[in-house]
Formats: sequence, structure tokens, C-alpha cells
Amino acid sequence: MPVKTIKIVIAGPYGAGKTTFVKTLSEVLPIDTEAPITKGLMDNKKSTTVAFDYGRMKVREDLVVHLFGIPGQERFSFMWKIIARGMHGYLFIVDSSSEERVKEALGMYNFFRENFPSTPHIIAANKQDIPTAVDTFTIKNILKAPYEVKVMPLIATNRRSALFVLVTLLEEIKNYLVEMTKYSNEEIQQ
Amino acid sequence: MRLSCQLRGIVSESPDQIRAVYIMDKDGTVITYVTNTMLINTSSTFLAAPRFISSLKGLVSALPIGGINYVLMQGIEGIIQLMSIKDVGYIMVIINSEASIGLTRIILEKYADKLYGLLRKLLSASEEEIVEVVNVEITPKDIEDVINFIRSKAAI
Repeated sequence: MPVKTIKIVIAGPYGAGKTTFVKTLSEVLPIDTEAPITKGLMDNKKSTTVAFDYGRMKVREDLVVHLFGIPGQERFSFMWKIIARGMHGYLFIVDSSSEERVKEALGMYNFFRENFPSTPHIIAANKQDIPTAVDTFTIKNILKAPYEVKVMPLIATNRRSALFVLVTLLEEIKNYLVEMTKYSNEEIQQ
Repeated sequence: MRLSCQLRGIVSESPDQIRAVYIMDKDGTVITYVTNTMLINTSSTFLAAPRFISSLKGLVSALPIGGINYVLMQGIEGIIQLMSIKDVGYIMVIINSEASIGLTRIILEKYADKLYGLLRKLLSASEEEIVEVVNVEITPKDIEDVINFIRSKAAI
């Protein structure tokens, strides 16, 4: 039985909250984030913390969801396209604690828009619990996000907030697949 | 035994470039390896389990990053990690749908020829098998199942 893999990428600049987001989800959902190290090679170390940027959730025997965090630093930009290839959708997290931090995300967001123009995605405005946080409308303007792209408030440390954002992204992916199915059927009929 | 001989062959064919070849099973345990003497002085002895290597950030955090001189490949028989390959950059190849939890295609096509050769030798696979990833189509129903699964687990 072939296993279906849903690939979701968590993108965003350094310090936006990607790791926290996956970590929070793993506290509620059966997401496996452990990264064992090969036996015998590092006796004192059983796993690494880096795996919080990766999570695997088994939904059915033949359906698995993979969450991939993308390293946000510019020096890893050559990896962004590599990791994102084949994804079904992505969540773009920005640090919304100030306009400056949001502006820092523009380059990476444009990269994703240019390289994956039709991939479903939503933007999550993290750190909305900070009093000076920028509102979602302003964030949408700064990032010049298309009208149809949702900008969701997020507190990555809050389980309910993180779950809500994840489900919203999944809804977007589902809607996209429904549209694609309709389009394919129309193509066949013509 | 045959695998070990093949590995030794690869190392001896490019002694200046390949310092070690490890073959791991799906649990990340080394089942066979070949090194040359240069490996003794390297600290690059971190071997990643399949799930781990799918996290690129994990890779760059865990491995010496002075120069990205290593290659990871995932094949039917497990992980193949070629370390400290001079000027090769970073490449991961996944050829098995079950294992395709990580990167899905050749990363640096620039080095593809060399790696196709290595993979073909190690896995007896054709170039097409190496490059193409089996994609099982995801349906709206699958996504709906995921959403329901999350709602059931998290009671939202």
C-alpha cells in the first residue's frame, strides 16, 4: 500500500517563531519530532534539538503529514527552494512585534511567491500578544500579499492559536485541491 | 560482502575526493562502511537517521558547516552518506516513495553525473529511478481526514 505524504513547509525569517510553532503543535498532536542519533557514535547524546523543525504525524496507515521548518537565515537561502519543492502548502510566519521585523520578511516572502506562485499558503502574524504588535492588515500591505491570501494572527506558544493556524492552512490546501479537481474534470470533458 | 566490495571500489576510484562511505539501515544504524585514513582526523562522524536527515536545518546544525562538503543519499537500502567530498556541495537523493519524507529531488544538478554513477553502482538503479520520485496524489478527502484527525486529537 503506497503511503501518501502531505508535505507542509513552515517558512519565515530567522526568529519568526517557526520552531516554537512546531514545538507547540507537538505538545497537542501526535507529532514525532525526535531525531535519534546513530547508535554508538555519540554515547552521551541521544537526540538533537534541531528536529523541532521537523515533525511527522501519522493520520492513517497510508497517510502521513510532514512539517518542514525552513532555516530562515539568508545564508541558507539556497536550501529554501530545495526543501519547498513538492510541498502541498506553506505557512509563512512573520514576527509581527514591529514593522521593521515584518519588513525583514519581505525578501523571503517574495522568494516564495516567485518560486511557488500557485502553492496554497497563509501568512501567520506571530507574537500578537506583544502590545506593539502590527495588525494583520498592515502586515498584508507590507508584504504585498494577494487579496486572497489570509493573514492570521498567531501566538506560537499558544496551542489553540497554533492549531487554528494549521487547520486554516489545511483548509486552504483542500480548497485548492478541490479547484484543481474541478479544473481537471472540465479539461477532460472538453 | 558484495556491498562492502562495491564501497571499497568507490573509495579507491576517487581516493582524493571520497573519505568515507556509510550505509545505514532505516533506523540509522551503520550496517557497513568504508573509510580511508583521512577520516581518522575528521570530526564528521555524525550519522543521521532517516527522519533526521529530512530536516535540513538539522543537517547544517549537526554537521560541521565550515564548508558544506558532504552528500547524503537515501535509497532503497537505507541512507548513503558520503562525507567530505571535495567541492561537491550538498546533495540528497530520495528514490523510494516510502522514504520520501525529506527532500525530493537532486539538489545541485551540477554534480548529478558523479552521483548518478555512485548511486547506480550502489543500488543498481537506473538514472530515471534515481531522479524520479514516486508521487501519490493527495485528494481533498485526504486533507479533510487530516483536519478531522487534528480536531479529534486537539478538541478544537
